[in-house]
Amino acid sequence: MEVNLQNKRPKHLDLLKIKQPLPAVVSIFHRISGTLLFFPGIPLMLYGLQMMLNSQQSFEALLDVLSIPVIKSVLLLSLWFFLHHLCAGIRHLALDFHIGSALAQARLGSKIVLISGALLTLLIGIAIW
Amino acid sequence: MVNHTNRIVTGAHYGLKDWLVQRVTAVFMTIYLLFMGVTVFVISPQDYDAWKSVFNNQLIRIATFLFFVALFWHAWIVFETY
Repeated sequence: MEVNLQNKRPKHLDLLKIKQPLPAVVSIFHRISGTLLFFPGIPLMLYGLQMMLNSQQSFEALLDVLSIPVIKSVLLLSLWFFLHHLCAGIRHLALDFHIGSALAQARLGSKIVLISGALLTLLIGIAIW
Repeated sequence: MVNHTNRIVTGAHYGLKDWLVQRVTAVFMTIYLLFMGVTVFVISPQDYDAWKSVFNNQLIRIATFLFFVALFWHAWIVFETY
């Protein structure tokens, strides 16, 4: 007869069912945001800079595009990705100096990173809307 | 970049330069963005001519060029690592 082992443990790594610890969430989001900031982030930023500085007409065209609510929302989302990447990066530098690398501190640190990223986005978002 | 000739098994420090460049570029970009943030906040350029004059400053031009060098280097190391 089968021995009843701990049946509640998942048999497969179902990514929709497993719950990652907070530092892991910060880490994977650091990678995802970094990738998105590279592409399409860098080309869009360069194109925006070119439009801003090329001529009076292109400057006004840029302002028109940026005043579209959908574009503004996408810009705000990109800002959040960037700020999270920045905060997670600062945490990384702290970890390099062995600051906050113990389990409890690492969890607290990742919580601070997540919250400050979102909070800074909110504040800057209010300022530029 | 890893030099594949004359490989050493232990203590070769192949990754040390990448590790350091990743962090130095990150710190530089952070300083640049803080500096630009403060500059834009203080000057608060409203129209095309004002923005143009900000980027006509030689110091800002050099810093912006270095920012993009750092940005591409920072990203390149990640791709190289995979």
